[in-house]
Amino acid sequence: MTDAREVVRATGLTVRFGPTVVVDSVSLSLAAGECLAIVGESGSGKTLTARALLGLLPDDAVLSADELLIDGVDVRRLSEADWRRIRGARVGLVSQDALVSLDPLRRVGREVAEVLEIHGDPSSGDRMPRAALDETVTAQLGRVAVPEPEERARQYPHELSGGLRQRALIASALAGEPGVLIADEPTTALDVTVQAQVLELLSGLRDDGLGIIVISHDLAVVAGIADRVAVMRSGRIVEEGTTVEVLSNPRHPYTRMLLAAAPRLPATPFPEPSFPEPSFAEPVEGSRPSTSSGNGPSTSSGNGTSAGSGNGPVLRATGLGRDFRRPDGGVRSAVDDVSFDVLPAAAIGIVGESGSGKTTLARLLLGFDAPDRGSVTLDGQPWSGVKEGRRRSRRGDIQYISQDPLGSFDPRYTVSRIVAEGLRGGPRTSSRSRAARIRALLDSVGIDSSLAGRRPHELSGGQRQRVAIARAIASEPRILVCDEPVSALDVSIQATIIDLLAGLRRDLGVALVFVSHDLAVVATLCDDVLVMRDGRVVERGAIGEVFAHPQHPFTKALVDAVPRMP
Amino acid sequence: MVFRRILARLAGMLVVVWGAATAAFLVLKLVPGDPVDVMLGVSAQASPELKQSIRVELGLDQPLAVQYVSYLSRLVRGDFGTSYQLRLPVTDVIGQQLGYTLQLAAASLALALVIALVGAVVVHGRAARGIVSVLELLAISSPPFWIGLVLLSVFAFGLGWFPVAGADGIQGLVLPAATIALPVAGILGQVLRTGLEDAEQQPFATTARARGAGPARLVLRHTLRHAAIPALTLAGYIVGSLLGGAVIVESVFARPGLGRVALAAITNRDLPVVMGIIVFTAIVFVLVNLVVDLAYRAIDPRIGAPTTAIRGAR
Repeated sequence: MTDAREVVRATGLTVRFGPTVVVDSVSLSLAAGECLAIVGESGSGKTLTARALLGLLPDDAVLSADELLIDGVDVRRLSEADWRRIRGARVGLVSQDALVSLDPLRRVGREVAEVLEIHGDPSSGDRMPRAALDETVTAQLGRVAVPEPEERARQYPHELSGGLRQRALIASALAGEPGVLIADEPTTALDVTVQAQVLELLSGLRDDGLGIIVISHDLAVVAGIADRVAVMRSGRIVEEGTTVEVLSNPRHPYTRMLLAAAPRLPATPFPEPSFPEPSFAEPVEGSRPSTSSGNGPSTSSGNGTSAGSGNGPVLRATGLGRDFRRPDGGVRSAVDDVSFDVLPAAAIGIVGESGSGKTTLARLLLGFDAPDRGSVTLDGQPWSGVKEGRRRSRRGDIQYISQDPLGSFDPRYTVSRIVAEGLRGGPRTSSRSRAARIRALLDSVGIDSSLAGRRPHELSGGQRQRVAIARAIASEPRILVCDEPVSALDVSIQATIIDLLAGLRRDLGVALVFVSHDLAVVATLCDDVLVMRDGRVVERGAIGEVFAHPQHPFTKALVDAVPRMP
Repeated sequence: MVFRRILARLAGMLVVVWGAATAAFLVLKLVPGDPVDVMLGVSAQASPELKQSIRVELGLDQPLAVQYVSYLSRLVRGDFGTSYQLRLPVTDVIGQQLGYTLQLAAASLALALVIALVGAVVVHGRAARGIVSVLELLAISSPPFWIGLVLLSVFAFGLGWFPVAGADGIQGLVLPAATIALPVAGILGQVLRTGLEDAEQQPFATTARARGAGPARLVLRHTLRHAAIPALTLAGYIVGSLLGGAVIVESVFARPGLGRVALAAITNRDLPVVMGIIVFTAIVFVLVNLVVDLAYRAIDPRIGAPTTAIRGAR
């Protein structure tokens, strides 16, 4: 690949905001038919590096470089008008979520055609008549394997599935036949099975001679497609090499940390489950599946009606169902016939793709929504079908942790006031003992008391999630329902939050219901798992068993699609 | 499904007009004073017998419920009654004056749109936006009669560019239209500019720029449509400003029109005309809302579509 034409060459690429250097003398090179991955966490400067290659830095950013060649053109001193001739024609961009990265008010075909309207026919540069434009759009959509491209071209982005939308976005970037494609987190918003298909599409394009720069926070995604990897941290490339080299033999400590922090499915030959019978929802100390061998009575769902807070389940769902009316008048069951028990201090993962009903299920468990069928009991007492007024005094027993803690905070509140909210409804105490309790709570989630006076927007993503957890455990709940609590966080932060949740479970004996699309995260934290599809539980059991020997075809597809490191 | 939605929509519109008609009827019946005295004028020396015969003729001696039912049934037939003062059918009174007011409203709306678009499209995202938004704030907070007087004293009395009063041709339309247009342009400009700036921050705008789109293309093909959605929500406010502005402006500039008629009808207690104008206004608002709803659907294909979960997972 070394003799292939070089399509990107940058040396000493530096981006400053005033005195702050955010991209620091980055050098990279990309050949036609090659894929380079730039990997880093948020704030590493990877996205700004990508933007610099498109001439799309924010207005107040200052760019300097010793060399910056895009497809052979020195772009260092280009005017905005010159840049416009480069963008779309020589370098294309694919960003994260096609639902918002394609103009939602325009038809997909118009979006794909736009680059041709701007630059004309890619081979001649002539203005394209409408008929030729439509023909090319159909061909481009077909090229990225969009079925029925003519029909899709007439639809709007929200009418397409996530995978088709992303393909259409890729087609719109490729229509101008650029030599370089910059893909900024191209699969992050997608379900794993769809992600695998889009990655396959990208590597096919690479094999056809396209130069691709993939920007990602996810080493595993990158492993499947990139020829070379550059790891960025604080604006610098700390390590660069072939993908195999970097992932199997990382030299820089930061790369090693990233690799270690990435949650992953345990290497494929799972230890055969050592417990006699893979019992579901067992009370378990610790978080390793191997330590969960049978102590305590195995309570399979459906039998046993023990009440009270003894050894009975903390939470029991029986035949839960929730229907929604479709716009065409039909009925869709978002949750259908779901039953399970959560024993004290157990950790249950609920996995599935978007639209599988996992969030609806979480809302039913929390009593935010009422089931159409079935029931939920909390501590043996009815929980669903109870008036909210009578439920309120028990809300402290079941708490919720969301994906977006920032949205769940009053932006004017300080950290300590946010945590104090969680104490409301508890016994009245003196303000001094309250303050001490708040300090202890913050301490238990690893938030330094010097941050107690800060407001939510002054905290990092990981700190916010810690504060949300402190607020949730303030009422000493028996169960925490977590909906994608780490999916918005960097991997290294993800790992610390997962550790924190595992520690709370061990120390406080709080049970966890952990909703996630990420099998690897669930595998790290939970003992048992429910796999959901179209509102139904298609497979359940101990984590190791389910992921090592998936029975249901959907679970198999899900497990196979998880990107793996070499 | 669609058919039922349209039926429900039409029924809703009828309810609004009926409500406005009923409210107008009740309020005007509650106003003290005998309409017959008002009709005859203060100086008239009419015998009680004559007054009584007029009352019988107008049906004012009937019980309230009977008057209400006959009022509604006449409304349904398009009969708004006869003006006490002008001795003309109310529909004719409104019809005669409507043209002047429509002309004024259309000119005001066009002027407001031009000012707002220029203020938003040219200025958004630039340093000048500070100055422009202060000017807009000034226009929004100034009462229209004051704007009218200032415009008159500068451009009519001072510079003599435009006539002081009257409805002759384009020349006579400029100052009245500007009086109504300025506050409307102020608020519309702010909403449009904020909408444009918000849309430019969206990922699709970055995608469009990455295709090589220039600023003109970005505004015309992408962001202006997004900015139009919040601007459309102002339609009700704008129609209110146009009609309310007409009342003031037609008086300040001594123009004929619906606003003058409304003002005169209220001061002279010409009840049929007042009720006619209220019902007419209600019909205008209902139609405008219908047009706005249709426009929403035309601009944003997502409205009325199944809601798609927008996932925040990175």
